[in-house]
Amino acid sequence: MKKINLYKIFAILFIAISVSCVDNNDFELPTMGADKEYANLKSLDEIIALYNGSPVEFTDDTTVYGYVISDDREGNFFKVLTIQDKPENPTVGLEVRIDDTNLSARYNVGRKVYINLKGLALSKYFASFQIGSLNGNSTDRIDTSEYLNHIERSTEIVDIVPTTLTIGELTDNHINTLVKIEGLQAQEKGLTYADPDPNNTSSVNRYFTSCETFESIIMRTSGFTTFKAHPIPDKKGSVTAILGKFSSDYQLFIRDTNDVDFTDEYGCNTPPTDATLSEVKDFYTGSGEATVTKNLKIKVVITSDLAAGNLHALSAFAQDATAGIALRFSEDHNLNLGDEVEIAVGGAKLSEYNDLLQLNISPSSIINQTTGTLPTPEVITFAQALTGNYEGKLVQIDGVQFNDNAKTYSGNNELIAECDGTPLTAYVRNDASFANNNVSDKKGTITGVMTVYKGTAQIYLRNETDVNFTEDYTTCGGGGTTTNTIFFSELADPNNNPNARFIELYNSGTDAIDLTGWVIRRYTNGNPESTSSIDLTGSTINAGQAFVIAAQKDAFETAFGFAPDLAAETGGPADSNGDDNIELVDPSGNVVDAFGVPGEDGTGTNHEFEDGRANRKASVTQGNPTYTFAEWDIWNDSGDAGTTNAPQDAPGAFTPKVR
Amino acid sequence: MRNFTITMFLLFLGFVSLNAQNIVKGVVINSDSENPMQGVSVSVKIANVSSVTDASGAFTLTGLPDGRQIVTVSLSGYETQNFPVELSGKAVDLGTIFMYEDISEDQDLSTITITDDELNDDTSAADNISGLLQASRDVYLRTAAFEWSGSFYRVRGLDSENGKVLINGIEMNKLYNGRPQWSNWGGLNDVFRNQEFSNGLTPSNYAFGGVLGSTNINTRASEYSEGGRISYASSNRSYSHRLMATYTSGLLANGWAIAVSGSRRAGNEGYVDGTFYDANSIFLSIEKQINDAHSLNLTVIAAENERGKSSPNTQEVFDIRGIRYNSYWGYQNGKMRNSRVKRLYEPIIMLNHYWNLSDNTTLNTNIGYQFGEIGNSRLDYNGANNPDPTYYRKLPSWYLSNPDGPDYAQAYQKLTDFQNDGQINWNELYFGNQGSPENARAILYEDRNDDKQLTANMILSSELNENITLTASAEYRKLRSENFATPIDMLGATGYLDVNTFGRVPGQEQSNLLTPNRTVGLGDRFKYNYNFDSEVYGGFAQLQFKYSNVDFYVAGQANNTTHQREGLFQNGYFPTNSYGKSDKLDFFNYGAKAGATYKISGRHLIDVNGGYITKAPSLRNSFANSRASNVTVADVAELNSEKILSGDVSYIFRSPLITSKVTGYFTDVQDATEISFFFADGIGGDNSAFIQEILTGIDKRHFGVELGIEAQVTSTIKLKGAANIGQYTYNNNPNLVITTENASAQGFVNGKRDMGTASLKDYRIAAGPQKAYSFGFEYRDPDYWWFGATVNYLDEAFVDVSPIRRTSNFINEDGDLFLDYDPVLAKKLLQQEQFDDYFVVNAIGGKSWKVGDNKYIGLFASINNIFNQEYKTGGFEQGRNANYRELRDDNANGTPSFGNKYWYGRGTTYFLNVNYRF
Repeated sequence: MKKINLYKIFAILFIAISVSCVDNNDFELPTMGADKEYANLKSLDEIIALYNGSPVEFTDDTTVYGYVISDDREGNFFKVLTIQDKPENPTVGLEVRIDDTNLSARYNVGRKVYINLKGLALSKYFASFQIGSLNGNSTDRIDTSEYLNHIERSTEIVDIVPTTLTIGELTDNHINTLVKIEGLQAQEKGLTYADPDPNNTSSVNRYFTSCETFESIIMRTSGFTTFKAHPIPDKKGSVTAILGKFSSDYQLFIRDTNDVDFTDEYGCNTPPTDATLSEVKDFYTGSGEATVTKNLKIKVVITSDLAAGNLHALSAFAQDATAGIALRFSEDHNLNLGDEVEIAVGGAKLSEYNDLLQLNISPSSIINQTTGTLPTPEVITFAQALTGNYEGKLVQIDGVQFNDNAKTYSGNNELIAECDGTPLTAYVRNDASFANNNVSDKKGTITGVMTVYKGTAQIYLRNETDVNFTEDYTTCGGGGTTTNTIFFSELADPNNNPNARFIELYNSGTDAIDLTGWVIRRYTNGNPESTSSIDLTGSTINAGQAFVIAAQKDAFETAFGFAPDLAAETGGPADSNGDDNIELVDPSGNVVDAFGVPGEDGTGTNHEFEDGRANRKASVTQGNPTYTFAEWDIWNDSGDAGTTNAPQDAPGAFTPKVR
Repeated sequence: MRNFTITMFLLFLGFVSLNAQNIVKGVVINSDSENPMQGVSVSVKIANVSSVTDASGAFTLTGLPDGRQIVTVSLSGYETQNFPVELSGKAVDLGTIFMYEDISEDQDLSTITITDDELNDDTSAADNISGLLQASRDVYLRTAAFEWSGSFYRVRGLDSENGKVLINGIEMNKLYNGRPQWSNWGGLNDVFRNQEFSNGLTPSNYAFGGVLGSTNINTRASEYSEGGRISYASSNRSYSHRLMATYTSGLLANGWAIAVSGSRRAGNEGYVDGTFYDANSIFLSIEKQINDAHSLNLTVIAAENERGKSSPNTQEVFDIRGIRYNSYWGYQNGKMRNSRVKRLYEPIIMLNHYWNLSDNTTLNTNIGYQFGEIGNSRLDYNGANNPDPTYYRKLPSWYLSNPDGPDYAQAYQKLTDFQNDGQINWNELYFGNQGSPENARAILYEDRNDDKQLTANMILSSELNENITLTASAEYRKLRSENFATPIDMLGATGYLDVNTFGRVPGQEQSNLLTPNRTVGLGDRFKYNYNFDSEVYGGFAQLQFKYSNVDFYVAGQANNTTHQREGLFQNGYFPTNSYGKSDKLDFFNYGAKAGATYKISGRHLIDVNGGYITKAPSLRNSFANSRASNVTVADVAELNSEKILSGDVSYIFRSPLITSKVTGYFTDVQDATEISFFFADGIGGDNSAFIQEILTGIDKRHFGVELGIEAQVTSTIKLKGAANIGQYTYNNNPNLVITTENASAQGFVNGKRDMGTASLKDYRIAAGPQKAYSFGFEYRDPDYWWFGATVNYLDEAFVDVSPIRRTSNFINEDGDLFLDYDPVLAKKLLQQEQFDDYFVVNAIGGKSWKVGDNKYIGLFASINNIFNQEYKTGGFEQGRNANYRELRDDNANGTPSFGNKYWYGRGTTYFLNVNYRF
């Protein structure tokens, strides 16, 4: 009976493999259901249009849709979802603030999303529109367990086509949309996207320049990104990014390094084309900063004298046949007077510094430097010089002299062509080689580069030989009207309100006096030289009238209830603290009236009105160039030398405008 | 009793005679088929004389002393028969002995399901030890296997690596971790009945064994009796259905024998949610007895096993979702899907040559080849949030422990979310991949071990004389283990970037610098890829002496183990020491043991065993971070072989009514090594890192008393009792070194930080209940039905402590004690958690019917944990809160985010089996 029962074996094997199956394999691909019908469905631009300066809270069922463009996978976006209104040519985009990470695993790039806004709010943070939970004047992130109820997904995933723009074409409307900028390269080679130190998680700005438009832009990358330590390719190409803005700077935020598509060789290799300085200057639109957005070069001659030191080593003036301009270098240059240089100016910035237009460049932009020929200075009249039209140009002006020829070159020097004419300032730096030489006391021809300082034309002197004065000095004076019927009638240093200091003049004559050429000088403390002055030109005092010059217009008006006739500067002649000396000078330079004695500090003397008041006695009817105590009533805080110790408070103790 | 007549007959036959040659003989016949039975064991225990029946069923016992002896005739699957004889120099012929099938063997079916489970995941040291014990007849060990295994009970508190499992003399313990992988032959219970178990240090005929003993499973085709068997089982434990079918030919006249078996076990969900089970097993054994001296046997075992794993959870999670909760699964299109599937398919082919060199000497030559793969799946998500629904930020506790004060609204929201959903959201993972299918955000992958192991050995066994038996073996094992990760489901995507998103320095993020930024697809190897090569050669020799009053043995072994890693990827964190071959680690080890059994009388015996074994570190414990680098533990700490000193003393009492055994035991382990991997906060102050925690020089002490007692109160009622009172503790303060992948990580020097010693001495080892008691009864009706029940009480199970918290790092920051350190609170925080004690009541019953010639139908049922007791079977402290501040802050509100994680035992479960034998 012992035989192998084959049928038994097969039966057993059959039984063993034919029992119930288990559901542990062959899972079907899940699919998302069709999109819902939303009752009150709005486009993103319709929602953003509701914003008028303060957060918009949504209290009823409003649903907005958009397309996801951000991706937080690599860590450059944190707890934010950026959506735009259309897959292509978007008009608006915004940030949805959500308190969760890896949002892109739920909201893929290109996926259409629907946001039920009920309970949420639209706000604006600087230039960026945001949706979140309302908190006062801004929005917070939507809670982790709540956002799922607000944001639903469509089955639709589309390709987002970035809007290709040049940097100059970027506007605030492109913020939070996907843009693409071509021809970019990093300004500096060999940098990483952010600090490679794993422990430094600060965000980092990297600067990129377009080789097409020579504009530059910031790429900002978080120190939490996975690619923070990766090198930015030392190549050139396009960057696709979400546009942001900080202060006035646009910033690019890439999703991952695939957004940096650099395949071309680094460098803006095409040779720059020749341009005139005038063409370059035309990029400037009159305000702010402008970029030379073409690949240009200029050939100019240096008209400034670095060796003479009357200009910083970062600065120079240059000129070609069409125009002249100030150059500002990022590092010290070695351009000397008369050098002919070729400079690449693509991407250079044009900006004004104290109203002087500068071309900002780097020494590395200098293509070629040889000895050239200085342009012949253009001969212009003094009046032409004052117009400011010759800014940056080497000019020559005849018939000028220094207004004050008893000083050194250091500082501001006024040049005049006629005694009562508007002066032209020639500022000389302390570091200039001729700063300590006395200015010429003759008259003649001056050469220099026209410049501007705070709206007023000035002339830059290259060196002392620019001052070629050979004619006799014209002595001025006699211009304007002089009289001794104008004098100081009241000086005020209110004890309770030093901001309300003033000087009152009085015209005791019978005619109105034009004060053209009249000056009040102040000699601070024991200073024998005038320390400040105010030119009264332009004012008139009628007969029998007082004339008030306040130190601070607004404070005076607050204290006394009316405006002064003239406001001097803080620290000017009217702002004496009572121990200074003051003179009234007529157009000829003669002292008509004086309070105190220049060179003698008023403290403890009979010409101290500290915290008080000096009032001309009613009996006085004309100015006196020699200080005479008897002509004054003086109240102060010391009472020395016959004065009265009685500090005076404004407004009651003073009588401005009343003789 | 059926044997009654024979017994009485023999009693009258017996005659006392001194000096003469005592011989006992007989013939063993199958009671049903009336065929002679070969291979039946016949022994006289007290005299230590034994034999087996030959092909004609005959046996002869010689060398017996005079006096009253008991002859025991036994064969697995049959009722054991005892014949008292009086020997006095004359031959005693027991005549024809009928062997009756043991219906109670069906009881094994309940417990063999133990081996169907791996009770735990690989994350815990606890695993299946019961499989080893089920072959034992010892009441204590059977109780441990059948009643306490659901409690993760471990005999003497020792890991399963201390017990050797052999199939046909070939060791099956894995070189990777020293543990047998029971699933490799799961579902083949019918053909795995022939087992020889040696408890503890007692000698085995096949191997030196471990301190827990050894089991040899014999699959020789000729040793199965002819017959077939089909059984169906239903259960709610790990699978729902099991079908097994077996046919064995027995030895045919032409010298051939064949045995085939197949089974399928399947279920969509076990006791724990989301745990499917899917296993198919095939077995084939063919033997050809060439002649009397030579026999050749081929065995093929192919068991596929695939099952969904279950998660350990914090108390917070269990409190919210209950003990069946499993965080590893979720619905996909309405179908349950488990993200962590263990898949195993490692077929075994064996060729065994049996050579009877002489009547007294046999030489077995065995060659085994095992190959295949083990895959453990999990989700990888380099572009998505952690999909684990129990991720700490998704649970209420995280919001309650907000440093700015509890956020009750959020906590309530999370509670509701977790109650309502709380499972893996598969659909979401697919949707996440839709945006960029060429660069998936999440995929499902498998950690794979593809092992190929060749083992060859020769075992010589020789009865040198009546009293002395020599056993010796020489063995060679060679393992090539390929370890890698591979995507198994792209979740709708087409590619996945093989980078480690934690790398911040360029290069670090690369799994393989040789192929940076590689996109992988199905079947590609990614993340890590390396080979382990291990080689072991050695041998053992053993002498057993048997005398009338005393038996004793001595045994010794020596072996040499080498381990080497070969990196196939150049890891971004370890550019210089990850690619290519590591240092070759070489360990020479030896062991010696001896023992004796002294017979005070036939009723009272004393048994003593002692041994000293050194053990090479397993592959797992030899490399600091094998997935990433060639750095060995020896590079960063001291790596030594483990030394184990073990001994026990037993007192055995046997009477017709009572069989009992009480054993005192101790085991000292020295220089053990353990490696764990986790993310830790608070290293050297405020630093956080993913670390490898390398604990070396660990000493452990295990000692206690075991008791087993059986009383045959009546012919039908048997009472059973078993107990263990043990204490398993750390016995020193071992050294702790931590390493991390990032060499410049803060708080580390070259990626390493020496933490000094971990103050573990006297902490309890997490080794299941250290105290266990069982009491029960069996009723066995003569009419072939029976039932039984036990009450079990288990106590003193402890959580696995975190070593890093017990270093000086816990209380200071770079040498300065924390200013806010409160020693009273610290002590409380470091108190080792002891789990609640509990009672578990189990019941079993069965019946068998004879339905024809040699045809039976059997029915068996068991119910475990009748009263649905909830109890923790194990747990561990999460290492994340590495210092006092972190731990204090996390525990401040009572529901820590990184609290201990636990496994719970099953509630009430059943097992029902029907079988048909023919």
